[in-house]
Amino acid sequence: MAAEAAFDFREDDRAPVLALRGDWTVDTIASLEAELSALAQRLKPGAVVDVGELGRFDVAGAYLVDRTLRGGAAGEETRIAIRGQHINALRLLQAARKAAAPPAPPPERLKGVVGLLDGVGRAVGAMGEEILQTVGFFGQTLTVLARLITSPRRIRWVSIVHTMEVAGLNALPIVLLLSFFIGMVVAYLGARILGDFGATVFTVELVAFSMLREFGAVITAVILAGRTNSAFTAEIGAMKMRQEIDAMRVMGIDPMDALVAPRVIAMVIMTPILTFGAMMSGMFGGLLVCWAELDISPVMFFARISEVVPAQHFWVGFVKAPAFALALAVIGCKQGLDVGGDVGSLGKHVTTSVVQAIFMVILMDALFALWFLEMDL
Amino acid sequence: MSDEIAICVRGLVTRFGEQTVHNGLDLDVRRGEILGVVGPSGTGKSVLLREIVELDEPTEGEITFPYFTESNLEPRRGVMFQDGALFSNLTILENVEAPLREHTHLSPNLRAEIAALKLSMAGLDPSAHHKRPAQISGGMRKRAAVARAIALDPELLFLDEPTAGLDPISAANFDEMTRDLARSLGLTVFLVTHDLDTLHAICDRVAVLYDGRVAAIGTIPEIEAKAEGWVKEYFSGPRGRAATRGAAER
Repeated sequence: MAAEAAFDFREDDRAPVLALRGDWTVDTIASLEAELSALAQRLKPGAVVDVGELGRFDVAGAYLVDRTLRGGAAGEETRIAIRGQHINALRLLQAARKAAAPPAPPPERLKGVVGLLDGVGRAVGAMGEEILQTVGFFGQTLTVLARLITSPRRIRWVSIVHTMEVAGLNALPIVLLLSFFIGMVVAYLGARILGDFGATVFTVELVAFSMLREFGAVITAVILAGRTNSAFTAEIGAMKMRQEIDAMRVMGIDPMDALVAPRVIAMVIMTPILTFGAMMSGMFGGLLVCWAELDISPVMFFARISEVVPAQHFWVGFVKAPAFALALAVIGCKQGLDVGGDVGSLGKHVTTSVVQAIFMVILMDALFALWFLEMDL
Repeated sequence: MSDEIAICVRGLVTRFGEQTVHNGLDLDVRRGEILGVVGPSGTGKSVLLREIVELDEPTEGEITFPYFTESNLEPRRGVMFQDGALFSNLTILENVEAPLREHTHLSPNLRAEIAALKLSMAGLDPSAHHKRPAQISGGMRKRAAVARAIALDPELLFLDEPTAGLDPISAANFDEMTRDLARSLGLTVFLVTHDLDTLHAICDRVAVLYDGRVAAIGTIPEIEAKAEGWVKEYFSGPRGRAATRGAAER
């Protein structure tokens, strides 16, 4: 067991003596710091360290003793003098003296209101930059896609099909399940509110309109933003960190061709399929609620849909899917390629990727809604 | 160096599925020595290191620390991993402070001062203190990693390929730093390396791992005297001869 660290200070006839007792190690010295600082103030030149009764000693202990000596009247010039026998005291004291270097002062930061304004200014600047870059990347992606259409032999089918499976097919269960619940919720809502007006039969329209026009596409896109965008960014980002992207470049492989294009194409193909699934699953959820709560039989449900819900509503929702897919894939890949050398940057870009993707989906959906309204669709 | 045994490995067997890495390996590391561990790639040098520091569990056999058990001490270990393994979201100074913060009650000031001392012992300039690991060079990262490994004044220091990827001058400086640290702090160093110059320059003894066992152990002249097979090829190949010449010139 470690013996407690302690010291005596006495001034004998020849020189002031600092006598150390017990173990002076990194574990034991914490309590002595204040006392030793006080002692340093009254330390006269020529002090001697008595190590005769010292137990274990390490660099941290040596540093503290040496700091005390240097804090005395003679300052940095104090000679290290010891009295008594110890296995490594002199060596460690010398090592600590030789290497002593104060920690560098932390880099200066702007404080207070100026600091706040500085931070806000930088954030706004960064945001503008980011928007510009993302638009630029979007344009770059489009030119790469156009180039691939003119020379289809460069399309990487294996990669596309793999991404279609991982990012598309594997997302199908969760997309179907969640839109099924949303469909049920919408139907319950309709049954409750329309019931007050004695118009429960309109629940069918409510479910069909909302699932087809909005929820099918938006729910799918939001789920993909969380599930697939983060994966794209993390995959590409990790490749960037491990210099795999650089390796591709020097081999003459364009990462836009090899990584970005297959992901974009796969997403543009799979998202409409998932959206279609989400629409159907949501309507099925609505159908079950109508049947159970409102006594509207499935036959009647379908009859009413084909009677009062024109197919244009399906198309209004469906055309949004590829647009969402394009935005999601472009954002995911762009953020991945922006990852820097360290782990923190990876986390930051994955977060940014998901946030931007969800933001874009909602924004685009609002713009679509405006446009369709003006077009009377 | 003394005759006390710091690390004692007996009958070590390590298997990964079908593959046997160590097959009845015995090894003694003396207290206060710098032991270089060499061997062809895949002979389990790093695995041995990981088992001694209790990151991996051997399939069979035991690893003890006789000197520390006898003197009732905890065998405190500091490890420098191959790429440094510095925490990338902390600055260099904070990295070295991390073990101190976790295990001691030092005041923040004293803690920073001790961390700065350790960085200076490892040969790192104060200008790097507030940089992040990604912002400094590979050689500096390795020095920072050593500073972190010795932050708590361990008795045992483990270095995994410390000079890999360094230019010859940095590697030589790093060797010198390791030797100075080991001598002045009385460390026992377990050093896994491929660098023949390192072996010649700083190791008191060398252990050659081959075929799941320690094929040879001793000072380099001792090993060379009775070397055969892979060991012979290793020390008397073109690179081995060059390193021997280099050591002789020094």
